[in-house]
Amino acid sequence: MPPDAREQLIAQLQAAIGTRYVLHRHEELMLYEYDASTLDLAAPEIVVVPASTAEVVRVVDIAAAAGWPVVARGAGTGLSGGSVPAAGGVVVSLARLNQVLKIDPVARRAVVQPGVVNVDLSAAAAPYQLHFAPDPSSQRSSTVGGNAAENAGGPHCLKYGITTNHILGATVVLADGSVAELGNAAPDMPGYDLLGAFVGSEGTLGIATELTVRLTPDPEAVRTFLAIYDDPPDAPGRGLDAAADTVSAIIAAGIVPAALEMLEGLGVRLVEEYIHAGYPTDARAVLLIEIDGMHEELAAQAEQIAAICQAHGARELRAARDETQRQQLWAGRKGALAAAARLKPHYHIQDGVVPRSRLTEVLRFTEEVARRYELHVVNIFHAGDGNLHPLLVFDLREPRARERAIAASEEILHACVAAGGTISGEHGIGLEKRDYMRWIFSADDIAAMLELRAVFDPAGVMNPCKQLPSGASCADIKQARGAARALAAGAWI
Amino acid sequence: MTKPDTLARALATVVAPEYVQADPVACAPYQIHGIVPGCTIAPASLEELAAVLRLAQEHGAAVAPWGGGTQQLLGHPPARLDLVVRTERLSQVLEHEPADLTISVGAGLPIGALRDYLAPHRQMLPLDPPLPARATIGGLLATAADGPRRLGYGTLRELLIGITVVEAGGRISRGGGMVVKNVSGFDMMKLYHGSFGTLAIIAAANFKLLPLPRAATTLLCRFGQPGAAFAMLDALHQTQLTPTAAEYLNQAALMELGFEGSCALALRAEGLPAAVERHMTDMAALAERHSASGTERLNHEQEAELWLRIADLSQATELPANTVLVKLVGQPATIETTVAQVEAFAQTHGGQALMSARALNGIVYARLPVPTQPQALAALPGLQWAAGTAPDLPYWGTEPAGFTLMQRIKAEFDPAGQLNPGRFIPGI
Repeated sequence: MPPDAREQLIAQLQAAIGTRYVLHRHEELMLYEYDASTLDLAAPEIVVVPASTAEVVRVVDIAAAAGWPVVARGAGTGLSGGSVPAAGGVVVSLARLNQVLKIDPVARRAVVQPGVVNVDLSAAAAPYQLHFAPDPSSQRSSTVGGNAAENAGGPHCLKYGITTNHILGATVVLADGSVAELGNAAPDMPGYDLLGAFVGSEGTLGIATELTVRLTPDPEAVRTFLAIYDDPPDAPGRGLDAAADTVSAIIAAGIVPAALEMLEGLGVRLVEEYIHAGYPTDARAVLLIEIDGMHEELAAQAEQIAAICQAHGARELRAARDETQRQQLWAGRKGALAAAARLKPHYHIQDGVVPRSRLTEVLRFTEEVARRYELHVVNIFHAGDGNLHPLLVFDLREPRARERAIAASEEILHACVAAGGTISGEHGIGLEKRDYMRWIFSADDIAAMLELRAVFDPAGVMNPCKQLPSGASCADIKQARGAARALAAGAWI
Repeated sequence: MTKPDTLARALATVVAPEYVQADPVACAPYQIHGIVPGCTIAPASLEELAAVLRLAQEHGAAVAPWGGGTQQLLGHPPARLDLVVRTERLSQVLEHEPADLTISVGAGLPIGALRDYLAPHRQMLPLDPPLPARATIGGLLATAADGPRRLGYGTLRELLIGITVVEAGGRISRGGGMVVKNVSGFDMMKLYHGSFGTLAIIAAANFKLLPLPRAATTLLCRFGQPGAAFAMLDALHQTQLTPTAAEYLNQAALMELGFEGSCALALRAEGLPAAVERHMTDMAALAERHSASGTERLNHEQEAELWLRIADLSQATELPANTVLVKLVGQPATIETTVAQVEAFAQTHGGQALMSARALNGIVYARLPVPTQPQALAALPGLQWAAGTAPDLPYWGTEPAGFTLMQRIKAEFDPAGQLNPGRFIPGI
């Protein structure tokens, strides 16, 4: 039987990087059709697992020459469909590029391959009292390359900034197979900030095969608190207002906490029942407040925080006594997704941001929307920077659950935008929110972004159908390649 | 070359005529490296700015954006210059939500005016560049300016959350937004930051703000020789102290500031009083251990004044005759060598170097005598730019990594090469 285009491509890729590292059987490919956002599935036609920059170049050359999309993938923990191969094509797994190449404790930086797991980097830096500051909740699985592609956040970004502030340089394979060095070990190089544009471009500008990252000194001391808020029987909802007002008051007092997280309503109970983090199950809302810095600073800040919580009617402010208790409090926060799964098996999580002063009204709106669509909503989020994570939970076996979840989250995001906010704070636009980009950006804004994309990748090889809305739909791209494939197959007749 | 009169007449249809000037005398203050533009204009709104750039394109006019004019000695002389677009009337605070710690301002707002505006709210945009009364937000963004406090707060790159620009043909586009955390779309803010007015004119910018620290104190540690000062910095770097500025000042810099001595470190701590106090104690002890010849603690007014003057040491606006200002960049670990090389270079060229170094950031600013062969400056380690009135300076250092991509970006955003032609890295 004459080989069709796909089989030809498989043969070429096998010759380029070794048979073992080219996956093409149906059951192998199924593992790469989703990320953690779960609602959008699309299988690649081939998956490759290269082990070096040179191998990534060979893969990109081969795929691009054949007109196939190339989609980079780290651990697949993304929450916006960024690594889902929407138009099919070749998925480049960076799992074998997983080495910490160098740690320079004096310059406080590390050189790593993109497949290094976030916590593994911090573990490698720990002997020098340094760590990698971005700490997405997925940090036990997510990779530094994926964090950079998505410009990932995490609770401690409130004080330390999101991933872009921690990436100093990148070696990037571009769509034409060339290798570009972006950024520089030294700050402020004259010229355009290509690295700044690359971080957060969701794999659409190229594939990073090596990254230089900033390491942050461990603070001298850390203190973690749990502030608990109740609803008085005569004033339902006051506990939520009080918690949100506390958030604003802490920031307004001039304190920049290391992290300032909120869990409210249903979320508190679900987390506690599953993780036993020590949250009171009857609370309307709890705040997880962490401060770090010098001992002197913390003592003064702790007093201030206690006074603010009390003034806003907190039932109680508990301080973690030791590191074990601190880890327990954080386990509750970071395990929220898993906890919610006990209620219903499926979820859809959103990532809108609102100005801090609009938190309560938007939180209330999420509850109203959930009620209207007969879904449950769990709000567990980064209150300090106004980054909401309404988690809608449902069971896909129930009628129209998927449609209801999508419609509800659309309404919630709309409310975030109407409140002066935006549609993604840290999860990325990906596939999921591509069409909502027009809510916040004009046609001209998007045109400028598309021009930048065209500079890096004029043919749209890298992760097509992501992040930016464009004229061509993914179906068109797939169809066009289908035609090319048929033609190629025909050529063998 | 566009005819100034024709261009001015056209421009007067979109901006009030008193803000359009084609008279050579009126245009003279807007010369760049001695080249006087045919016209200058000061649009009053985003829409007017867009209309101006649309007309400029129709007339094929070469445009230079102008904020406070404090950094026009940076960069090559313009290859062409028809029109200077001044942002002075785009100087409003457009939106400020004190509770949200965010602000949106016009590009023409001087950073000093912004500082004054924010002070009653007990908030700040923590950038301390030279000449704050004149330097505008737009100019500071376009030149990726810094100040001594970047050690504690970074530069505008870290604080910028949204931007509005007008591209060469008059297209208005925006990036980011008005919230402190945002990954929606490409990070266009990074693209325009440091783009030297060659991709678009920045019209407005949004920032996240910080609360003013409750206390700030400075320790001035003097040393007999640089080695001791750098040894102390190394030791400081290994502690968990978090000074917000650590500036190395050489003899000439100290003299300019009215101090005696061969070199010094100015160390600043900001934050809660107890933490500032601890910094002062610990840093004074470190200084003593590294044989500082004197340690002086500056009170509130003294220290605020001192930092304004330290920031001004790296101004590239009014340089004494026959001097050049260079910016050199390396690693904190290489600064000591760089400083020594600069001193030696100045001596070789018959003069003295005036140096202020953001030592823990790896950045040195040095004012030097212009060598007989100005290109000799290119041999200085990590030369990033050289600014001055002398001809034939190595205006920009070596070609940056990714240069072909940069050329392609320029071609995409300003295909006719109308924005600041010839001024940036050759080829852009």
